Amino acid sequence: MIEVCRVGKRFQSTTRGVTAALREMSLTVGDGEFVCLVGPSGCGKTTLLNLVAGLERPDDGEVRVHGRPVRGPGPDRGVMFQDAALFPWLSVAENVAFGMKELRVAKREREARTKKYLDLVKMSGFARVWVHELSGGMKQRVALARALALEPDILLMDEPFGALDPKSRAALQSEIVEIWARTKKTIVFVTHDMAEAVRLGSRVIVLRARPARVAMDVDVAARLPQPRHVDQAEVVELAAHLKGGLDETGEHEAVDGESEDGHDDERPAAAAAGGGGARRAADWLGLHL
Amino acid sequence: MALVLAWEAASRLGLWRPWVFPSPSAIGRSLWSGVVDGSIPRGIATSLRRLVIGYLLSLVGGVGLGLGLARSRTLRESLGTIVTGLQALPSICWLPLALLWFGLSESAILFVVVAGSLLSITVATESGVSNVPPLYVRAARTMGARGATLYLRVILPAALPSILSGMRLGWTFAWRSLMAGELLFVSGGLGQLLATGRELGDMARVMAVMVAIVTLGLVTEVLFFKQLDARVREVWGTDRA
Repeated sequence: MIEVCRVGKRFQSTTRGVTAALREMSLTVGDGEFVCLVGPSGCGKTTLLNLVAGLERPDDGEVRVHGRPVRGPGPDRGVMFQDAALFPWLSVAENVAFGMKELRVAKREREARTKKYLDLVKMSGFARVWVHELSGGMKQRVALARALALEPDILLMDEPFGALDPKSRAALQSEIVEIWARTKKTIVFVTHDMAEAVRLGSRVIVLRARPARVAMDVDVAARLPQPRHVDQAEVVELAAHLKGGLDETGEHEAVDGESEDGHDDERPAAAAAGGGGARRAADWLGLHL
Repeated sequence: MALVLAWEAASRLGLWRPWVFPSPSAIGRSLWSGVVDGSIPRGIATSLRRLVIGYLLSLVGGVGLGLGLARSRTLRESLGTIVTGLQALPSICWLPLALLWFGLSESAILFVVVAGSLLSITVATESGVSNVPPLYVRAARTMGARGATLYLRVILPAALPSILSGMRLGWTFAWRSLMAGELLFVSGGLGQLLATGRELGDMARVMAVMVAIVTLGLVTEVLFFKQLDARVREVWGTDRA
């Protein structure tokens, strides 16, 4: 269980002074959920993920994982980035074993797990290959194996398929859903692609920008069972509806933006902000809000 | 080869006086006699020992200092300018001070060698470490790496290509400093053979020693640095780019 409680995060930039990336953000992710965080760029979704990963510290509030406050990164939360970030001086197998070595996992166990997870991501034939010999999609497969090898219950993914060609992306999308179903991991997946979010997530959380707030929170699993496909009519339709809702809240934001200082915090958050779009998405889903 | 033959022919024709610029055959004879009487092998052994010790000291110190400069702002602000400035100083300028501090000893020569090669390794390490993609460090931290292992298993390996180019440069600087030191300060080694050759007006001997130095340089390059470099290129895949 991941709990984000009234978290605030500000960044100091040389050109624009202090910007709030997150303000009073609260959010709960239950065990075994596949949550997709979607939103326009700059909406703070990556910041949120980094806070859960422990790569950044919140200025206000607290992030808790399994009830314990996050104090830094840890092997209980596997992380994948948009760039695979594999180490070029290590072979594929050594990359997968990196974290296990760090945690002093015994050699035999390390080798067994390296093999197991390379098999799982269909890269077993590449164990001894150098990183530079892999394609982008293969690198992300290895990065996935590397994250899974530490057997975390939580997987945090920051637009991991964003830089891939459509074919590799589609393949990796079905595999991550399959791995999720099989291993019952909790996954938080950040993307700016609404169709990808709807295709993957059991739950889609739409954020609006600066400071980020939850605009819509949709239980996709209840309506659209897996396997889904990005080109599937229902997926496309729901993605379009959510996007429409987001644009509406975006305008809302722009109007409010002029009186930014002061009473901003008292604004009835999700209700007003998410309003139209959320209701529309909910109508479409046949729910009543 | 043709160049050597032309040089030999020109010498025999008497285009210049042989004691100014000796012929290849005279150099060959001098080299041979130097090898047979043991003076050249002994010189090589003495110089190489100093070179290797001084270079290893520079390597350890240079990598350490470079790492410190890259990661600590205070260190950079206090030592950064000194390092850049001293890098421009030919290390032989340290000889008078080294003689004062260490006397006519092995340490004085080693000091000059270290002064010659330390900073090029430092500067290369610093730039390599500063250019390590922060994402590598973030990824490693999510896998539980921190403290010393983060440096040993991520930051230094990631900076290796740059450190290697500094090591190469450091090696040639160490050679130059050593030869200058041995020329000026009589204490055995190849530099001293050069100095005695000069005093005796034996240019064939001087050039024989130069041949020995060039050969040593080529051998270390081919046996050591070329291999390391090829390995790094293979692993990183930089030979394709």
